[in-house]
Amino acid sequence: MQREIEAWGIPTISLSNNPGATGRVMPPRWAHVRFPRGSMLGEPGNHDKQLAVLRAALAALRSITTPGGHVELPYRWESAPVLWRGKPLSEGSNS
Amino acid sequence: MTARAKADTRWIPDFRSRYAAWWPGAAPLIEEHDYASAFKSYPWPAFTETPWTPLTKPLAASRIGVVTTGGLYRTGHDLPFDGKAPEGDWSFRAIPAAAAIQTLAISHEHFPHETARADMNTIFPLDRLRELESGGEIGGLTPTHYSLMGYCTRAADIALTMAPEIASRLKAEGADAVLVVPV
Repeated sequence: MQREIEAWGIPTISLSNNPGATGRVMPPRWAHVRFPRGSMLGEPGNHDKQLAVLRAALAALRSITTPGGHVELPYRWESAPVLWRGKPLSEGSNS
Repeated sequence: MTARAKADTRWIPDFRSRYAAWWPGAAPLIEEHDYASAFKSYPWPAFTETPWTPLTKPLAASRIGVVTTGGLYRTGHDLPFDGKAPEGDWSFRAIPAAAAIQTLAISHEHFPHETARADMNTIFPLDRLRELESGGEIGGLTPTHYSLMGYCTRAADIALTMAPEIASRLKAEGADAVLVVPV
């Protein structure tokens, strides 16, 4: 998806909590978020953190200058673990 | 009517032949929800280049579009995605920028929904983007944003049908940059 939008002349930034999976699709640029799957901008209702993640991701549209580059975001999950099929999700987990 | 792909598609014949070899073995595993075993041998597309378009405008003058893979749709307007299809669903839903995102429904069987149900901004941050727009930090939002259902094994169909159609619409709506939120 990101590859195609970029090919139409529109720069893109994606959020990723799974660098291995992201690397396989060779996106133009991405921001690494360390949140569990299903919660890409942080905890529900955490207005300030969501804004901070967004600002950092959008700023990376300009600060990343090489194809495939990424930024590490400093934020961590600060709520009870999210359960998936009875087990807590860790960042970067798959189905 | 469907837009043609502009990204490199040279990987597709190789992907299709490896996919045809992978699917018969993977289908029974997927049927049993054993995704880990099924995807160990998934024929990941062999991309050879990274597309690149620089952002030349300041963010404060840029119109932003959003693509989420969270399987969001508008109840009463859109059909749900086919969340149970073994090969996934490669259709998309167009969501107007003014949509009340908390009323969107999710059809996606492959991630826990609790966080997004409590606050859709965690996977589709339109409210936060409107705040950045009000504060002058971004130039604005495209009139429409796009939702797809992130579970789909048919990468060639995504690349040849869904992705070009979404990209062409974002282009037509004057997107200067796009935020992609894979869920």
